[in-house]
Amino acid sequence: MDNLQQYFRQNSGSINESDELIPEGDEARFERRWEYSSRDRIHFRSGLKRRKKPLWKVIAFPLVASIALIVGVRMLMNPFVKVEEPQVRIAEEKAYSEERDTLSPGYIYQQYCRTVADITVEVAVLTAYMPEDYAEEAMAVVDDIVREPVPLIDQLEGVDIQRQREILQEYSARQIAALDHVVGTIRGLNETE
Amino acid sequence: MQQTALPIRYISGEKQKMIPKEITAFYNRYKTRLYNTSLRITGDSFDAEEIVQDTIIKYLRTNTGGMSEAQTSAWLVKACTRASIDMLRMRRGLKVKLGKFAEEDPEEDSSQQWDSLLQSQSPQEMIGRIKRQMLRMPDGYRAVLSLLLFEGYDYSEAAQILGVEESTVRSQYLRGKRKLVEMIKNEK
Repeated sequence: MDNLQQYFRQNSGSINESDELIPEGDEARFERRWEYSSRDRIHFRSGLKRRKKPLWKVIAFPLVASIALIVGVRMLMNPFVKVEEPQVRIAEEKAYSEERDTLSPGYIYQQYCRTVADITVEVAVLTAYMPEDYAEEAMAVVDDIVREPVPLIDQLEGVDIQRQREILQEYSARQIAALDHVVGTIRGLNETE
Repeated sequence: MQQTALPIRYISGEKQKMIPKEITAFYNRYKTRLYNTSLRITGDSFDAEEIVQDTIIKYLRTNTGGMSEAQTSAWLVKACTRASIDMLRMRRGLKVKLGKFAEEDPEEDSSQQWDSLLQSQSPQEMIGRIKRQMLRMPDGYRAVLSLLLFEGYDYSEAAQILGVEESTVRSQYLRGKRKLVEMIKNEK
């Protein structure tokens, strides 16, 4: 330790006497610095009371989510949903109403056609194992009975509905009786063979 | 001041959170001592203030055990000194300067000149003059003289703080001392 160092040790009290002061406003600057450093720190929330969610938030979120879901699904499904033609719907409704009305001429004629189709199938089945000319003859007989160059219902256009009904009922009964006779004959032939 | 994350103080060994007013009071208690320590090393008022505030905040944040007044003061001065040296090293390349001046200035003993000078004035006046002139000295000399004269470190401690060889500190001290006496003599 040299003379200068010894001098300072001996007069250490004088060192602080000539100390300079920090420029004014340092206290406020320190407080700002402290706050800034506190802001960067991680604050654990375990000790804090949790804030309660407002009621409107509790209700609004599920409501908005549901509406959004419905709208979204509708938008997604739109390309796959077929819009039916109104005319077709009307035609179907008409046919359905006609079908439901069992006394209408249309219904009577429709039922007759269905019966003819069933009998034709039955004849085809009964003649399946018969010789070929037998089968052809049977089908020719059926065809002769049911052939209508112009459908009867079309021929009755302009005739009174009640009258149409009577004609069609009588016609279909007669035709079906004739067909039944044919079927019975074929069955008889099958039994004898 | 912000209420959260307040530091802890110890009263009769019991932990208590410091209120903002106490934090400010703590700062005011140590600021002048630390400011002058830092100012003598850095030579810059802004740097010194910044270092003082950072040091005190660091102490308040990391203080985990109850320290006595003397221990607290010693901790703060040491931390402030190291922070000031770090500032010089970081911003102004202190280590490079220490080596550079070692090559430039001749190493002469100025003890005789100092003896006559120190007796010419009262200690208070002389130390005041030394302080003023030191602020005009290059960083390397100022740092070495501050540590050895004002902070009372020995050569090995100063070498450790500055991160240089002890021989470098010795030679810098001799050169600094000679330069300082010349500056004081030439002072008008």
